[in-house]
Amino acid sequence: MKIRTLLTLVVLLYASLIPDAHAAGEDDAARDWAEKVNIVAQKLRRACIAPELLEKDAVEVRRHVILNQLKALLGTEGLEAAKRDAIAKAIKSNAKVHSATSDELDGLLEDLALHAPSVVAYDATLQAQLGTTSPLIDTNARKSLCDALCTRGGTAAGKLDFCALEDPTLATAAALADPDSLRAVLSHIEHQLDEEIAKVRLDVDPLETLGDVSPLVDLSTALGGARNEDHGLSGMAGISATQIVAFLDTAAQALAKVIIDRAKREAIGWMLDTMATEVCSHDSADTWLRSELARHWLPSLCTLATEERASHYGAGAAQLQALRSAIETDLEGMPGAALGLLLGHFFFETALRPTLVTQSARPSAAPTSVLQCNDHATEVRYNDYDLCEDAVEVRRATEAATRSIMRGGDPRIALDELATALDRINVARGVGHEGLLESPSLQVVACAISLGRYAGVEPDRATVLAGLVESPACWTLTGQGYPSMTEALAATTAPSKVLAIDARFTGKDPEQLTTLIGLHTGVDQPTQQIVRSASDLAKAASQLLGATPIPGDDPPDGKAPTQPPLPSFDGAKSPTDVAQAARSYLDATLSAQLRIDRTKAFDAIADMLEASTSMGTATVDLLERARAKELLPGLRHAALTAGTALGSPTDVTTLALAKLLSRARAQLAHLGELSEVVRASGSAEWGRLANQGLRMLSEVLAELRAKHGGAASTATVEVEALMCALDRVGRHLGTLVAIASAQSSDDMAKALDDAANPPGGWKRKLGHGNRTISLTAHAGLMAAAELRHGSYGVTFERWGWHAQAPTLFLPFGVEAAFGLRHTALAVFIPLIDPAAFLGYDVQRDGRLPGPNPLTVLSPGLGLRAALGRTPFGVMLFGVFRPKYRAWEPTVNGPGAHAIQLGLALTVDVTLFRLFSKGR
Amino acid sequence: MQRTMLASLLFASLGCTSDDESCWHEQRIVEPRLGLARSFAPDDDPDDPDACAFEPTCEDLALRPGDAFVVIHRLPPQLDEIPYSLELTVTTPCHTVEIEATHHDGLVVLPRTAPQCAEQGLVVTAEIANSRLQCVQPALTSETSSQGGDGGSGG
Repeated sequence: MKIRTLLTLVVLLYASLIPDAHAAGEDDAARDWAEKVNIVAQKLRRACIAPELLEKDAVEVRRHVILNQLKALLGTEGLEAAKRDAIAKAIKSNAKVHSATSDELDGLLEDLALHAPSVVAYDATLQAQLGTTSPLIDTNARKSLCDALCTRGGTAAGKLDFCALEDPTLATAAALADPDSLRAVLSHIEHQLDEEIAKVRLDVDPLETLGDVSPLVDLSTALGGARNEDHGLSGMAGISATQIVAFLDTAAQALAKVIIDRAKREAIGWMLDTMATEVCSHDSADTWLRSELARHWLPSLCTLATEERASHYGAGAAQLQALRSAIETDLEGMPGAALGLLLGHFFFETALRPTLVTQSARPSAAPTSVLQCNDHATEVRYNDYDLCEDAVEVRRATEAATRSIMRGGDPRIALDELATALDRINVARGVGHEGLLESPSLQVVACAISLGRYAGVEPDRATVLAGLVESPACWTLTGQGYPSMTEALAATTAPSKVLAIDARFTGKDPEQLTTLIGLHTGVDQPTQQIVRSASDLAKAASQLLGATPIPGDDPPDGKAPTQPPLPSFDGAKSPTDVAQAARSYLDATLSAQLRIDRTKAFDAIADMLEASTSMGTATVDLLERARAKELLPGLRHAALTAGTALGSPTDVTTLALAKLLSRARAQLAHLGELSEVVRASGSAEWGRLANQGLRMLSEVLAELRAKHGGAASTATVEVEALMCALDRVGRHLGTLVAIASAQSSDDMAKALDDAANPPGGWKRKLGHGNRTISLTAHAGLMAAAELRHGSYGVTFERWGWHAQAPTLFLPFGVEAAFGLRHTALAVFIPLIDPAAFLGYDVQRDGRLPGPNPLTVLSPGLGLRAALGRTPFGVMLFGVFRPKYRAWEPTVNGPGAHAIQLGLALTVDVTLFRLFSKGR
Repeated sequence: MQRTMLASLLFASLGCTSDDESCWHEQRIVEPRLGLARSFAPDDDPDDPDACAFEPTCEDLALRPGDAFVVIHRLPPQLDEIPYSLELTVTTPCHTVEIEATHHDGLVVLPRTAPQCAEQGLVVTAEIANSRLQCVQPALTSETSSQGGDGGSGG
């Protein structure tokens, strides 16, 4: 009992020494967490004694993560009573087991102290506290152990000080980052101890114990009744079944109308073809430009534009929906295209690969821009020079990650996957260059964006350190530089039997652990920005859990939206597995929240994204201030090797680390800008989303243009071409947004109508050099001379001259307009004139033409000049009006044909643009 | 010179070769004709291709009550079937007669006797669609055994 009390005092002492933002403790959970971290540190400090304890504690730490999340969930407003009870019960159970586990840990320590006082005595302070001074361990063996694992004031170069694990932060980081290595090292140490120590070894598999008593499993079972098999994502995140059914219903109703209006749909289809062709630059001679648009910017729409398939979507509700989906996909993908282009260009520009290839080996016409990498022919030509291939891969990976976020994926996971992909691409695979980094700057970006995934509930130094060695992208930078375990131990003078790690306990060299210890000496305490960003990240994740259902937005089955079932930890073999399960749970929760409150959920996602990139930026700052300059050995190794290959210092060897990191920070800032687009996506404001995407693309292109300095290079020409393409996309953006925003087929049809018949069409005709063919009506007044031929009453006209007094004029027809500097000239081919019935005959007492089926026909020709930059114009015209002058209304009775030659003052009413060229 | 030739060709193609409007074939606006005659001679073949040979006119008949005469109304030969009927009115100072007639092959030939007071003046009016024609016989004097008519199709 005395020992237990002493140990408790030690724990409390440690807690008071550890700087922890939460140690001040706003609530019991935070204090509890700090205590558990300290206990882990204690175990590591006595790592030689009981590795099982360490492993158990690591699991316990993760358990606390889940416990805190459950508590946050319990605080959610609007939670169902049954679910609340189940969660409360589970938390209570969890707390009970947790308490029991703590007691168990303390008991184990007590046992160890009783049975292995020599080991406890290793710590002089604790030895005094325990009241024992009789070491049982062999002095020589302990000395060898110390020599091998601890510097203890020594300065032997290359020696790794495992006594650094006394630091609770490092201990926590080690437990989180590399539990396997930790176990192997501890097992190795244990084996080196004498039999007396071995006697107290606890052959208990704590993981099995955990599986039996896991409260989370109980909770999962308790909530089993509420399991909703349909909670998973099905690619329709954000669109509820109600909306889908409602849409299909209205679409079916609209179908009849669409069919009736077939003629209009034909025209719409033609318009779509025209739009898609124009947007996708199908009339361009530049294959790379078409590839750029079709592969990255508007893949769906440009696929439809192939062989003019877009016109198939001009009629029918289902087709319109398909068109809408295609456009939605493209609009969602535009931010990804922008970021992909940015990172692809960044990779291409900062890649060391060209310097790794001798000039003679380089292709004579190597691509000078990432944009050239879209050209398939180029890829083939440079097949053995795969910088292009890698650049395209960077773009695709970025687009995929961005799309995942835009569709409501967890940004931490998406960014981590992107980081892993970038790491895979960035590590050179060529013979003789294995392990080199193609773009060191990009690797820093990859590492930075991956750290958000490792930010736990407690944003502290341990989390950052763990992420720096656990993330594959960071490991490429931080690893491979420190001496491996074997090398470190071999550098000592201790007997070899002590230094060799027993192969039975590890299948690998615990390099992560050694690297972690190395980083521990070189990295400062996390800055306030890291703490704040990580805290924001955790807070945003909690907000996701707190998103409340929207009244009236229930699913069609009438059941209230449910949280996904809590994760099962069956089969978890390590803390990493537990953490993975927890992340999966959060991801599923996020998906469920998307169905409940899309706007709120996307706001939280945007916050998480901002916090992740902010945390990455802060970590880059931290690395820059690192005391140990060999902090990024992977990076330095690649840089030095690159310089060696060329026989002269490369940019990396001369490039200050600060500059390299500064580049990475700039890219991280661009990634952070994605948050605004994510918010727009959450509010389903397609206009805002599209504008944001277009703005991002525009900014990226502007940056690329500035990069090339405006020189008349191929790259500059390509950027200019892309800007023109962007302008074309922008011109049709309104139509695309209108289609994506439509709630029903009627809305979509109307949107297309509006797109086909925009007001102000006359303005386009006035553009200097513009050529426009359109269906146009001209409303105005006209006066004309009239020649008649045929029976008019009981007289017979033989081309006698008459006068058509001023009257209303409303011809409709096809007009070809040519914009001049201050006006526009047009050739107008009228087809019908609905106002023809008002052509009174002043010579017959103002008698109106007897209406007949042919009265409205008025084929002819007009020459129109716009009056300045106005819709008004003067038209000289000649029209033929068959059987126009009929004495009385008739169907097929007599009537005199009329030819009118006159002058009209009209207003241009452009109804439908058939063709246009120019700005 | 060329413009003159082109104009000539144009008018020739339209069937107008003369400014003489006495012939229906040569008029640009062909109106119906109204005429009065003592008799309708079979030789006056209305189907004569030379339509100019058949020109209904308001002859100077000097009709007195009881005298027989023939009202002749001729539609332009170019017209096809028309849906209108002819309304004739024979008016004297003391008598008015209204008659409705239908054209056959574009021609109405209506035999009548001069009504009372015809010697004091007689007007025959023919209305159809957009055509209104009159033949007027002024009052007869002792010196004139037969006078009257305005010489053709009045309007």
